[in-house]
Amino acid sequence: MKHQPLDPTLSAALGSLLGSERIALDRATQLAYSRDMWPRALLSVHAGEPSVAPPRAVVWPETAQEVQQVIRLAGAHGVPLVPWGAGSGVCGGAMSIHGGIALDLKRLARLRYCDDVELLCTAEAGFLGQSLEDELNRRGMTLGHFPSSIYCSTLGGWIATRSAGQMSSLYGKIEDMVVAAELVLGDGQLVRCDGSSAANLLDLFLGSEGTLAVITAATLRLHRLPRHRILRGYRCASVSDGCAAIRRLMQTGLTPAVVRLYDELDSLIQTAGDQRRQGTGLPGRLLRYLFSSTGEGSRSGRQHRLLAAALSRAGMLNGVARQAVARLGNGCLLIVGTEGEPALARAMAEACHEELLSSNAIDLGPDLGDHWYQHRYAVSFKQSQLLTTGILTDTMEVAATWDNIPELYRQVRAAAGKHALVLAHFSHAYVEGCSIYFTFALPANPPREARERYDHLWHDALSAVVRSGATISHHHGVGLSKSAFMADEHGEGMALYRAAKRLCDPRGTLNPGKMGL
Amino acid sequence: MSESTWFQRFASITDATRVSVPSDAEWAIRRLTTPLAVSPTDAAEVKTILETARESSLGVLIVGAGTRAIARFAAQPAHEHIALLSTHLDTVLRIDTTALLVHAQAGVRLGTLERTLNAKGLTLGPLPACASEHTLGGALADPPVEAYTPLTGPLTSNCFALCAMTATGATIRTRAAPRAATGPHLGRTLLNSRGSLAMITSATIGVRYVPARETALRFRFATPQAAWTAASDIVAAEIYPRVLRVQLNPDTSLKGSNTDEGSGGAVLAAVLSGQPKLVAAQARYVEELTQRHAGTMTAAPQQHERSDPYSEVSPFERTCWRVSHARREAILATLFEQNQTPTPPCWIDQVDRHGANLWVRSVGGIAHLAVPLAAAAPSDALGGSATSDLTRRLGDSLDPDGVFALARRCAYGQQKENDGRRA
Repeated sequence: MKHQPLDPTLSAALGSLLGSERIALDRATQLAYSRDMWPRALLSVHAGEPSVAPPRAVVWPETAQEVQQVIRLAGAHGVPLVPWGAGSGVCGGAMSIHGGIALDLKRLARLRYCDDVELLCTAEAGFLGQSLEDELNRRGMTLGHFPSSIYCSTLGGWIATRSAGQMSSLYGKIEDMVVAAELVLGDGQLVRCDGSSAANLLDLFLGSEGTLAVITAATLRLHRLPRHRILRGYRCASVSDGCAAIRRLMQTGLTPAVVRLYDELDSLIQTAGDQRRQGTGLPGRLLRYLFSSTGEGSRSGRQHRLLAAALSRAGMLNGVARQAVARLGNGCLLIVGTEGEPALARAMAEACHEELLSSNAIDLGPDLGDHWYQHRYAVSFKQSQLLTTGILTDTMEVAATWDNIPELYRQVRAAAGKHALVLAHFSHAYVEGCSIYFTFALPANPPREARERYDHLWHDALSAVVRSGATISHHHGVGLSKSAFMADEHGEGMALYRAAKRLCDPRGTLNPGKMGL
Repeated sequence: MSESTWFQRFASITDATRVSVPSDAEWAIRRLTTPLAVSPTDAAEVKTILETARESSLGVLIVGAGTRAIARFAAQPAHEHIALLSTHLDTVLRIDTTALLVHAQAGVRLGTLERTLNAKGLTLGPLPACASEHTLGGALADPPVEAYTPLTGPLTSNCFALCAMTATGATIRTRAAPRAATGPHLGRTLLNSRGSLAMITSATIGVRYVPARETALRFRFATPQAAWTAASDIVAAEIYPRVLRVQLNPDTSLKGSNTDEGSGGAVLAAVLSGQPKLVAAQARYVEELTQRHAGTMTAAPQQHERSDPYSEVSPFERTCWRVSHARREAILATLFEQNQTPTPPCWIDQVDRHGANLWVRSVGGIAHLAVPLAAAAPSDALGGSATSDLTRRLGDSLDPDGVFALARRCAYGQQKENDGRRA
């Protein structure tokens, strides 16, 4: 990686604005901010080719006014600027592909307003997710937003990517929670949008991933902290039976907080450690070994290498895995949870239970639900470690209406299954449809070939999504990884997005090269 | 070009029966001053009409049922304009009983759409009587505040996809997905845009099964404060009734008001709707909760609570403020304590966890209340700032020839007034 210094005039101006402790120009910091959690970027590091255009500076403003001034300075010098939350994005949205400045917002982390009668708060964009939730919990409230990245993602990042939490069936996605947002446009103008304007500008900025404006604060809808929570596991005979059960549940007007259906293969992994389900045997344990974060994996490099070798024949492996799960006949695991005031949470749980039994789901009791809840944030932070054993994992979250869900599931598995082992779970259920969260596992060696395989995998998988009429992202965003498919997603609607880009960021300062713009 | 030439030109796009020089009576209803009205039947015709207007430097005013045009376009000089009526874009295109979505053209009236859905055991959700005359496009482009219930939220939040056409003929077509994270929500950006950015030609709306059970409850409280607090506590407990309304000083002149209950105090009416066992549990909880605020259940819930007892109050005789629950003491003090003249009938409706719409029956004039209420109402949370210029420029950028310029002037003129108040 070539060290690229910032224009001395600009760095001096930034230093004078922020003080030397809030600007970093050194190579180590550049490297640290050169990529987010996009697995392809990790593959590049693995191949010895990290970003060719890391940010030339990282700055830490503390107020919206400082953000305004940084943006004005960057614009005046023609230097691109990439807003940075906590770097947990998985689509390359925070990668600085043109150098420039990384604008780290984590020092904007004040709770400006919070009211337990109005159930609203105004928080700054750099608030780390769990810190914000802790702050609200202390006041007897919750935001209700629990992405698995909650410990390493920020409020601003959530809003910029239209993130979803694990309890979105009850609380909605982040865009349902934002009442108003404070933003700095590409020309340094500070605006506040509350959805009351003559065009719904708020919805224009939510999800724009830093291409139209930098989010500095937002007013959020809150809920009283639930006093009771009930979780339970069920078994459905198949994916289609499970989806039908969820659909009925949601369309009856019930509002569970958690609904997660794992396909047969993913169910095997989720339940492989359950001693009562011995039938899962070796295939289950091996697969769980591969994907879970329980730590067993670190002791079994040999097995990983074996699996990596098997993954290079993904088509065959998928076929074998499918046959194995069909023979085991364990069906699909469904987790359902409710929460709220005790009497209401219980009534909701009972209503859900009745509805699921009438859909032929089999009650597995509370243990699997409780286990899921206790491990809900245990996403694998061991991606790099896993990579050293020759395996790369990645996830793709797409969404469709219920009529399209079976076709979406079938088409993506067929397209991606040529390149990777594919498993999936269905979550974020709504009355109208749900999200499918695909997990891919593919060999990471040799690195260059792996990148080619990775690119083919994503191209084919996203093409299948578009063909089936689904949306290309439910909550991870677009960034770089899905940028080429934005035209397929929006068609001529991109004219509106481009018009907004010209208007809000006339110099093209903000996060250039992303989102298919 | 003469009026007859224009007539022929547009008749060649649609047909002669759908181009009109409206009669005085029709104009009296719609209050438009355009010399010509054109009624396309599909998006392709809309595109050609907009192209023709653009090439001929004609402005276009999009008109649905005309229910809101009175306020928006009245007395606007629109001689170099045509009215683009959505009257014939009136087809219910598809009802998806798997995903519970209805796809309909923009000119379908909500009442018609609701009846079509009811025949299949479905509903748009509870709409107030006044909303049934709105067209779907109109209700999305210029949402009536009444089209909201705690159970379903506003109609706009149930819009899952739409198809709209900009003045340059670009089609903005969003995918019908329950949710997405694919950049800005371009479709939702057009909601509330009042025909100033694009014409909505069709939309996909979420529908529900007609509920299996409804339970109507009615409680009397000693004070408006107690009733309002109970209402906000109900939604804070995540119970979202189909109807939740507090008559702060019950209006006995209304049809169906219960005179047996005596006078004084406030009345909270709730209609719970949904899965029977859940509704039963919610009803028990609501009863407990109202008791905490010394509310007493009245003898029998009133049938008329299921709809809107205030629907007989003309829209011209009522005024609405969005108010925060956190400000209820100040608002009630303004209404009932500081006020030297008798307080006109008032009620809160469209309640959510954060606030409600405060309605005041204004037939006798409420000028003395307007300023103090406006001062008492706003929340301390982040509000909007002056963005009228931004929205106007976005419109200009999408519509460089100014085809929708008059609509923008009307819409942003009003927004500018709001901006002024904020400043």
